[in-house]
Amino acid sequence: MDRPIFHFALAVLVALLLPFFIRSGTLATEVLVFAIAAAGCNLLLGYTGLLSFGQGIFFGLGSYTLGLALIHTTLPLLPTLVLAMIVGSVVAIVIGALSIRRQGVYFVMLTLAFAQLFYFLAYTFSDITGGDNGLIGIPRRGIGPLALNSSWSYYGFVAVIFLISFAALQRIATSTFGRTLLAIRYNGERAQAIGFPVRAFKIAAFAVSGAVTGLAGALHALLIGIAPLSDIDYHTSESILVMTIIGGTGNLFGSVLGAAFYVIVSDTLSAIWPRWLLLLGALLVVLALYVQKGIWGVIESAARAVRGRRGGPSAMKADSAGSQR
Amino acid sequence: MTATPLRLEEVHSYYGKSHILQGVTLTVGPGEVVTLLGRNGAGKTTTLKTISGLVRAAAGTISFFGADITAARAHVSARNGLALVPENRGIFGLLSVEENLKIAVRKGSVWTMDDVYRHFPRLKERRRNGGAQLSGGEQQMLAIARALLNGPKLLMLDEPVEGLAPVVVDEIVAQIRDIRSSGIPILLVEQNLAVCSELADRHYILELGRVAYEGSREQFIADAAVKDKYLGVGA
Amino acid sequence: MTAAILSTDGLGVRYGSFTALSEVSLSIQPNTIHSVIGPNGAGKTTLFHALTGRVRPSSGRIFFDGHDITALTDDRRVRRGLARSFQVTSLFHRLPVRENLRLAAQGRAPWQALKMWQSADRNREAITVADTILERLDLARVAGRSAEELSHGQQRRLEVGMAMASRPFLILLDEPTSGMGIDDIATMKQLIADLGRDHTVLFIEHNMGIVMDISDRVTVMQSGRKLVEGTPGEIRDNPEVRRAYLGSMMTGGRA
Repeated sequence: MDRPIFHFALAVLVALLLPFFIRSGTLATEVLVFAIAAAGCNLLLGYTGLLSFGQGIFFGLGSYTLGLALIHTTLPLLPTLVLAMIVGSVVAIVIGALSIRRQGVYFVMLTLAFAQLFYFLAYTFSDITGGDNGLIGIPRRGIGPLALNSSWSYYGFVAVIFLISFAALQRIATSTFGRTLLAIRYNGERAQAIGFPVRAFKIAAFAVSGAVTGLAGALHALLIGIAPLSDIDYHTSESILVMTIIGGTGNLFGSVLGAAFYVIVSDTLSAIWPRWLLLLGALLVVLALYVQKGIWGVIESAARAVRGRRGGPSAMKADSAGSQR
Repeated sequence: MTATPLRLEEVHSYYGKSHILQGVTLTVGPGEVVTLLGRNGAGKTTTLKTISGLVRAAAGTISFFGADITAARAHVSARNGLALVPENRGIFGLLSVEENLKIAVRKGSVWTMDDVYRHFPRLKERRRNGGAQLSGGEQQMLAIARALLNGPKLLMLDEPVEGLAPVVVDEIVAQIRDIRSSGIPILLVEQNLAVCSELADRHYILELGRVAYEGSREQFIADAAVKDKYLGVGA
Repeated sequence: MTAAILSTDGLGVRYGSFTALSEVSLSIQPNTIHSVIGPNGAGKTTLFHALTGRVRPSSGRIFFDGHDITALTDDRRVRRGLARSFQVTSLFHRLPVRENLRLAAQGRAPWQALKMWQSADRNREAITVADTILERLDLARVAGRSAEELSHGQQRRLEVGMAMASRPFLILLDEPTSGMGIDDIATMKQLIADLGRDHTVLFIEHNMGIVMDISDRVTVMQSGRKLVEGTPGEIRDNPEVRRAYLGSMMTGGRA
């Protein structure tokens, strides 16, 4: 249940099986795009203990970067994705470095303030970003001979990137770096007192999270053909956080589940009931009260009950709902 | 025959896993002033907190005028007449002196606002001042007055004269002596030996979470070796 | 006479208008066991905070191993060889004991921990140090259990282990026996004496038995100042020390 290779296998399974359960290629791709974003958010929340309301900034900037690059330059697709990651990472480093000067609630408020700031910047500089209308007409360039025009061929492309990102994040999470982030989450003061420059590590976590989230934003823009203003607004930050928490903050595969749940449910419910967000809110309350480990936690408990044995100390992966540091 | 105001038998308590009280046994008799001495870390404040219920005793028994209060919640014991004046005094800084006092008034208490103002004229002078504006000594008086308004059957004081100038110390010692003469038994945690010697009928010394010494006022004044061993560096 | 491994010159710490420490000048000889004692409010823990870099001094300088470390942050001091344990146990409670020590060992070279691609199990050096300390502290049996499952005595030993793991020259122990029962105290006393053989140890204690038995030198503090310093015997017989503890009309001193 605990081994990373098993989680990766599950991720592969999801990527392979989604097309069978979801009619629309666009919707299936959206699941994977947000799975990447949620996993990036999880690195900050579940592993480092940082509750960031700024993920929408990196998502939106990734979106705009790709849009601008594809519309105004002749850069091939893959380099524009890398560019989006770089932009996401650099901005995350700056925002992270400034926000971690405060702890707890004040840290969260700072990230929220930055989110609002960037939203208004995007709105104001409408010559560049298209303002309210967003950046429209993003061409879906292919890769060499490979065309990505159909929704399922694009899905395949995103699925490959999703699996690569997932594996990379797993690698990072199980590395010495990932373990250090965990230590910082559990007792930042002690981490500092045993020699770790905690600030530097938190900024590094932001750098990775920003890159991954920027990538997700870029893929999203490519999916819908526009870089909308909504990609950088508060609601996107909030949704990514909600997906991460619902899925289970300590576990990268949990983020995949959380994203799938949110995207699919919002799509089906919103067609039925315009106030479906109420249900989501209620679900969050229930989760916070009773199932703190999210969907993945439920699955873990069920598996344990079925197998009838107690799991050992599995605390070397972050295994509970994110705490604020 | 009156029940013993306070009796502790082999009380153990913890902060998390830290075993602070490792079997404390002591009593406070009717009308007595008993002091609890000891170096830092010995467990004096923890003893008061355990008695009052702020810290749950893990083992042993605590009885208050014959009733078992070992597991009693702090506010229940307080309602029943067990008053604690903590080290940080607990004054509500945003309220005035008078408001701080009025909160504590209880019907049926022997002490009324008039009694308090008579005993602590300084508080009467400053009754409209905010709690945070008082000097250390005045805050201590306010804390004690508040405890009295509750009509306590036993008063516990945690280092009442710490950090106060000698003149103020004298004033507070006099006030404590007055309270004692009204018949209320007092358990006093104090590091100031002179104050202890002046006020106490009996002394206990705590060391490493246990009572290491018990003596009367006369015995304690005479015994320099004990003071060195448990309060100084004589070990 | 060998040079002091740690010395301070007129060290002072002020919190607003409150002076916690003033004019403290210390000189600690290498490979000695040096204890810091004093009555309530003496400033002992503030001294430790200043020495380890957790608080910045308002005045004075700190010299370690020949270098002025006054401006260094706490994590950098660890890398120079100065480590501490805490009075209130502060471990990574959810992580296994061995991982706690591996992290502490890694803290000596933290930049290596930025290698995001290298699996933690490949960290041979840190793991070896952790295992050595597990043996020395008699915690090998519980290496795989999470720190919060340990008994109090074991946790306090692990606290000391966290300081040892960065292989420091100087270890600061803040009330290592706090909250311990008799048996655990004896074990800890032995551990400190043992540490003194290959480290310099500076520790705060209220247990006079330990202080007098194993210290080479004792510094007595009162009201934020150094009162007197000497061998255990000298301190025991010193009338000023006696007065500091047993007091006169004025109490511990925050008037």
